[in-house]
Amino acid sequence: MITPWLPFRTRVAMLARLMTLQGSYNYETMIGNGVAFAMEPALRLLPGGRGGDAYREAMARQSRYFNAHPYFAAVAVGALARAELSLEAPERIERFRTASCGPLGSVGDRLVWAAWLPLCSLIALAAYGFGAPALAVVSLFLVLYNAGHFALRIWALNVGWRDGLGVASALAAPIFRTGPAILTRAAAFAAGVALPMVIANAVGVRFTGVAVIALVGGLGATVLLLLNGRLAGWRSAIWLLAASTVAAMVIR
Amino acid sequence: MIGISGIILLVLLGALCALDTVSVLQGMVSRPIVSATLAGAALGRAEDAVVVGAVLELFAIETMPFGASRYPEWGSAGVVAGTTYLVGGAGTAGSLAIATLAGLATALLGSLSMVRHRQLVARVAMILRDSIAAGSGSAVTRLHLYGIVSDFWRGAVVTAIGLALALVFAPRILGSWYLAYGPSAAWPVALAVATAAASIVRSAQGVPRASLFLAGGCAIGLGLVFAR
Repeated sequence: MITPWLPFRTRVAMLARLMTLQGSYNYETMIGNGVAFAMEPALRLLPGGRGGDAYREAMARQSRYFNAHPYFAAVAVGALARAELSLEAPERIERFRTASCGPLGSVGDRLVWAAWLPLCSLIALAAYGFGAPALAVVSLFLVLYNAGHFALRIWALNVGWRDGLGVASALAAPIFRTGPAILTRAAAFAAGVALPMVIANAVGVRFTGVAVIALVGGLGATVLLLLNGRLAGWRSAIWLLAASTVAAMVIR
Repeated sequence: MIGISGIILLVLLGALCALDTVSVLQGMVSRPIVSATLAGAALGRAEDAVVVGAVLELFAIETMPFGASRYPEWGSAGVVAGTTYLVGGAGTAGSLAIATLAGLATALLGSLSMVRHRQLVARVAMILRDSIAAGSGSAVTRLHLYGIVSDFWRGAVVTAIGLALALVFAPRILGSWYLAYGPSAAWPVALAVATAAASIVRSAQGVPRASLFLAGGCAIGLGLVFAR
């Protein structure tokens, strides 16, 4: 087996392409085409170069069905690029591709979509509730979220490249097991602080007004929880707001 | 009144924010608190537009972009909502309700258009299937660029439709709005709080002691409002 080397420029090109990983997202191959697109700069280093047999075989393999969390997919891109440049057996590469979809999806969903994003969102909402200027609220949210986002993408590509097909151990790191729970607790706390402040700021009411709106909101939340996900709050709000708009125009 | 250059700027902004939802970066410029505020900034009134951005952000907490699931597209929705709020005269009775409604309706339209867009990309992938299966790097790149460019246009069309409807109907609706400011503003906020609270409680239920953190946060939040 060959020990491959990845030039810095190639790594940067892969990272830049990873930012568009879901550009060709579709219901047939999911992000498979995006994985091949992100890996393509590395595959040019294969014997025969761009358009050579090894390049074409690798591109064909990597553009097949693949699905994972878009940030964590960088782990697979790094690992698969190393495997291809090490001239690993195609069967091993295929097995890794198939096996990595689930873990890279679930870890990313739990850590980023279910924990990190809501936490950053609620911190920004709390800043709004505290009366921070609009552009400060937006900057706080974008800087905070993307500090984690970019760090994760860079780490993912590097660890994938470093460990190759043995990267599974990196995903067993304690942060991926305990991180979501810690972030969820922090998000719950931030939500508690943010919601009353946002009500007060958005409607322009004091404590009694906030308490009334929070009570109505609490009742609505209870209904949504009792329906156990059968009704999406944002969708039902469309109908409720449309109905109240008609009422507000008709009832004098 | 927004001029034609302003509308073009907003459509462009909506398209870029929509692109961020899935295809490019996913740096959360597409979140409504960002996109609505950016729309306000484009019109010189970011401080007003952030209000509807914050309300929509509460709705958005319920909907995270999990894989192939169908979720609202908040990038263009935020731009439409922010603009509607300003056109309706931010802070007037009904303006927050109408802007929130415009944002949610655009998010729904964006969600439907994303499904169609993904089906369209799959069709193009089928056309290029033989070249891609033969390992053509240019076919992979072509499909990828097609997906990104068409997603940009999808976002532009969704934003343009949302803006057109909002600019035509919002002033007329608000012209015959009889409800007072208080309940008009409180209602969309209460709906947003209900949606966000349900989502937070649901995720807190799966984590030990998270409910205590939520309760503690609520006590502090209410205390801060009381102390104001």
